[in-house]
Formats: sequence, structure tokens, C-alpha cells
Amino acid sequence: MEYRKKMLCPLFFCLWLTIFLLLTPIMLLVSGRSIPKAYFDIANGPFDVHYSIDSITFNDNLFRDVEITGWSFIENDAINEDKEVLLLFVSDKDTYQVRLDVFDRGDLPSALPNLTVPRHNSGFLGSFSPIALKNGVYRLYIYNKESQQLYGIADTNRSFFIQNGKFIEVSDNKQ
Amino acid sequence: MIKRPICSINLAECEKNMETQKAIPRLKNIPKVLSTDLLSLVAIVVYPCLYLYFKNINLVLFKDLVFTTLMFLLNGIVIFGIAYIFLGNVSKAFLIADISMLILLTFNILENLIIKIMPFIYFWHLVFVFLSTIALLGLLIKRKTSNEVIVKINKVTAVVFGGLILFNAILTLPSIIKNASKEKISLGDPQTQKSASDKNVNVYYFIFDEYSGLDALERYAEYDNAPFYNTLESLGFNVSPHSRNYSPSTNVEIPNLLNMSRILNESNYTNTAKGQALKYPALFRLFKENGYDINLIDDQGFLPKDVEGVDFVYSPKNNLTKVETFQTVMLKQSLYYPLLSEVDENRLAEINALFEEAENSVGKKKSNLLTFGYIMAPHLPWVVDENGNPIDASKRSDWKTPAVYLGQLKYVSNKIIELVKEIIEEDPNSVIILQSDHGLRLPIHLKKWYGEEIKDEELELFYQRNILNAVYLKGEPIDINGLSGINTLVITFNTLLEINLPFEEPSE
Repeated sequence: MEYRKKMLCPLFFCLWLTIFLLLTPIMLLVSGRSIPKAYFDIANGPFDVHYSIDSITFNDNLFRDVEITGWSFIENDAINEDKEVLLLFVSDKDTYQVRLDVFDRGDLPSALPNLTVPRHNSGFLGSFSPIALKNGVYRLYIYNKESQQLYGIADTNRSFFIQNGKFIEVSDNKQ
Repeated sequence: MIKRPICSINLAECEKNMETQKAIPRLKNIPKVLSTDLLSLVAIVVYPCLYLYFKNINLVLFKDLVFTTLMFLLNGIVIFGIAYIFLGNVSKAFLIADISMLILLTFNILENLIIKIMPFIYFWHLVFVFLSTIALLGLLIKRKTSNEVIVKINKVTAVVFGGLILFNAILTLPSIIKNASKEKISLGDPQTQKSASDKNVNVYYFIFDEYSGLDALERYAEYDNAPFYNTLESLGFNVSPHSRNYSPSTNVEIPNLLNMSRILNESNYTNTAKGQALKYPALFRLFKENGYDINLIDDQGFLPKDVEGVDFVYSPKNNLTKVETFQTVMLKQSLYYPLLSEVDENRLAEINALFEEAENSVGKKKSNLLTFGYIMAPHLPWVVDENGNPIDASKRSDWKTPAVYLGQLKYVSNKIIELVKEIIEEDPNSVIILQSDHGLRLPIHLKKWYGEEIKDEELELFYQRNILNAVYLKGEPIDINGLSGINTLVITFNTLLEINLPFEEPSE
């Protein structure tokens, strides 16, 4: 009985410490902000992806959400209802993928007359919490999948330093 | 000591009787402990509120202090209630409520300190530690501490925080006395006059807070805003890029503008006086007496809720979401600060909504409508760049980078041009007045926020009072060059209504 009582305190402390250490992943999971790791072959992009990042904005909320908007497409004239655009944050050790929402950008065909711009889903918009990424320097790639056959990866030439939720651009090669 | 009852029935019943007898003194004690234990909670809640109030006694209304304090006090009582359920003892529950409120009220300050040492800690970690600590303390207090000790701790707490309140009150007493004497100053009764004939035009008067005049923009942001003035002139506006108001204070200038006379200045200003001046300002009276309806677009609830003479009113914010009130400042220091940072995200939408409402004023009435709009932009929080894109939250009050202010100013300029084009197109026979209360107050803030030295305060004040000043008078010319905001209003309304309102001294 005495032994049990003695063990109870360290046991509670261990439980408390475990919860404390897992609190950030729990919060990210509960709020739907977990970012899955990805296993992409960055060099593997058979088609040229045309893209532009219009804005990256930083929110002052608890998760320090970063919102990103822009457009991306591979030249084609089909209607790709299942189009996917992902942001890939690639460091020496890890790769994270952030899925973005896509929407129509009616202004693009006239702005890019020399390219075959898909009529639908060329705009993208999404947000993520940098807290979900391990500390480190990440290069940003854009994965664009118009269809099963038509996909590619673009290197944005932009890198970001992430430390404890701080998200700072370390290179500035904006298009 | 509780006497053990004689057990003649059975042990279980006997124990039950004992529990009942134990509970009776606890309940009997409630009125007694209210004088000490409750006082400790009240003192802990009141102290930070009063501290902030005393520091800003000229800016904060007493009713705001009372409301905010009661809000936190209610919070403390809820915590007390929860603690009482677990502890079953009034004094112990009050101690837990005291400690909880002390942490809760200063949570953001504590968090910032802790994050400096441990940057990997987030809000939820601290909330977890806070709740764990309170639970552990509750357990210790329940099991290991006698009621007498707790009562003593509560007494000491009440005395310490009561003493702090008293100390701060004594320090602020001279200001309170000074303010009380100020309130006796008569604000006078700015004159209004009735026009001899009906004018049948709509008047649109907009104040854009912190919209700098040409000179101050060149000096502080190295930006030439001449194209904006040129566009206004091409639309039929009369412009005065070098106009200055009398003070760099919104609280002084807007009541004066709305009364078309300098009834307030920095030495007679009090909150009460401002309230008096805005209760039924001369501008509203003038137009009411001349058969106009008043359409008010009121950002931040700058005008009193019970302002007289107003027929239509639009305000995009409720009390909690104002950018800076006594309540929001207190909340921003507390555990509840994340609620406000979420609200801050909406500021750009609110600025857009204000402009939209300003556009909606056109056509509200065919004639005889005075629209007065106060829009707190390009004043901080700076939330948008010149292209309408939201900017980093970290830049919201970045006084060290004038380009951030400039981005919002350019955005507002574009919105102003859109707005006046719409008005002139729909209502060309109207009067449109565009003004600001003061210019970009960069030196004042660099000194106040970062302790930077101002070499020549008078000179900088001269530039910081440089305002936006432009008038469209049915497309007709009117000489407003170099006039202050008040005198521009006087000359415009004298011309429009064919009356003879008195001018103020020129702004030096």
C-alpha cells in the first residue's frame, strides 16, 4: 500500500509531463492544423509548372497561421475537376505538404496570352501553422497535379527559416 | 471544536449527523468571511483595473472602469463557485479564486516573460501549467492547510492589494482634483444660424484619422502625395495640402471640428468635456435647424451612443471589438487575449465596410442629408498594403517603418477617390468635405513608444498637425488654401447656407 502511494506521485508527474510535451501536436490535431510529412521526389516533375505567389500573410493568432495565395497550372485546355496543388516545405531532413484550395482565376488567360491556361482551378489559397513544422530552413516547392498524367513540381527559389512558430523568409526571389 | 454527538442509533446515521453539524458553521461563517475573504478577491481584481485607470484618467470613462471591473469580478466569483464545489470551504475557495484571478489578469504579461526565456512554450502550455498549478494548490490547501492560515493569507492579500490601490489613488489624487476643476470650465455654446433659403443639396463630410497632409508625408515618409491632390482637383475639388489643425489629438480635434470652434484644447480637455461637446455638436444642430437629416457613419463608436439629432447611424463595431478601449486593453493583458487577436483580423473588412457604407449614403435621400463619417484610417492598426493585400500582423503598429503606414494611406487614398467619384457621378450638386484630424504623428510615437529624442518639438508638432483638407462645393471654386479644418468648414457652410458663422484664429 505504501509502495503504491509512493509510486503515485512520480506516475502522475510522468503523465503530466507526457501531456505537456504532447500538447502542441494535440492542439494542432484538434484544430485541424496538423501537417503531414510527405515523401516526394523533388526532382521528379515531368511537366513545367507555371506559378506565382501573390501574397504570404502572417496572422497574429495562437497558431501564427500563414496564409498564402497565388496561381499555378500546367498548360492544358482540359477541365480538371480533381486538380491538386500542394505546398512542399523541404529541409535536409523532412518534407511537409500543405494542401491548398483551388479556385477559378478568370483573369489569367488574358494576362498570359502566350500560354494555354486551364479555364478552371488555376488559383490557389490556403493557410498553415508553422508551429506544425520542425525548426529548420525549408525550401518551398509547389506541386501541381492537373490530372493523373499531368503533374509537376516547381522550385520557387524561396526559403524560409522556421523556429518555434516564427516563419521568416531567408531568400527573396519573388517572381 | 465540534462536539461529537451521542451515537444511540447506528454508526452511519451518527456520521451523517456529524457532517451536517460540520457544514452548519461553514454556512454561518459566510457573512463573516465576506468582509475579509471577498475583500481579498475584490482587491485583486480591482487593483490592475484601477492601476490602468489611474494611469489614463484623462482618457478612460469611469463607467468603462466599472464595467470592466465587474466583468472580471464576475469571472472571479465563477472561479470561486467552482473552487467551493471541490473544496467545500469558503475561505479556501476564495484563496484559489484570488490566485487564479491574479494569474488570469496578468496572463499575457507573464506569457511574454516566460517566452523570452523558453521560446518553445506556447499559450496552451501555460494554460495547462496554470490549471495544473491551481488544481495542485487546491489539493494542498484542502488537505494540508488549516482554515485559520487561509483566512490570514486572505486578510494579508486584502491589506496588500488594498494598500496598493490606496497608494495609487493618492498618487493620482492631484490629477483627479485637476480634472474635477477642469470640468467646471464652460464649453460655451457654439453658434448656429438658419439659412434664409432652402439649399436642397446633400453634404458629405468625412474625417480620415491620421491622414497626413502633403508636407508631413514628405517629411516623415518621404512620399509625394501630389498625384492624389491632382486627382481630387481634376474631379472639381478645392484642395489645401498645407492646412494644419490646432492639436495632434483626435479627442480634441474632432469635437472641435464638429462644433466648428475651438471649445476644447489640451489644457481643458477631459473625457466629460469631450462627451459634452459631442452630445449634440453644433454641426448637427446647424444642419438640423436648416431642415437636414443626419446620417452618421461612426467607426469605433467615437461619438456617444446617445448623440442627439442623428437620423441614420452605422457603426461597424460593438464595444468589445473596438481597436482600443479600456476593456480591450485589460483583456489583452489577460488570459482572454486570443479572443481579441482573432477580432483584430477583421479590421480590413471593417475599413472596407465603412467605405461601402459611405458609398451607400448616396441616394439615401435626394437632398438635405448631412452625412458625417469618421473613419479611423489610415490610423493604426495598419492592416493593408496599397494593393489591398493584408499585411503581417507584426506590422500593425510598426512606427519605425513609415512605409507600413504609407501602404495603408495609399490604400485609403484609392478608396477615397473611388468614393468621391461615385458621389460626384450620382450627386454632382453636392458638397463633399474630406479632412483629417491630424497628420502622421511619427515623432510623438517614436518618443512615446521607443524613447527617441525629438530635437525640436515645436517644429515637429507643426508638421504633425498637417492635415488632409479638400472641399468639393458643387464643382465650384472656393478658397480654402492654408485654412484650418474648422475655418474650412466655416467658409464652406457660410458659402453654402449663406450664413455668417465666425472664424477661428488661423492655426500657427
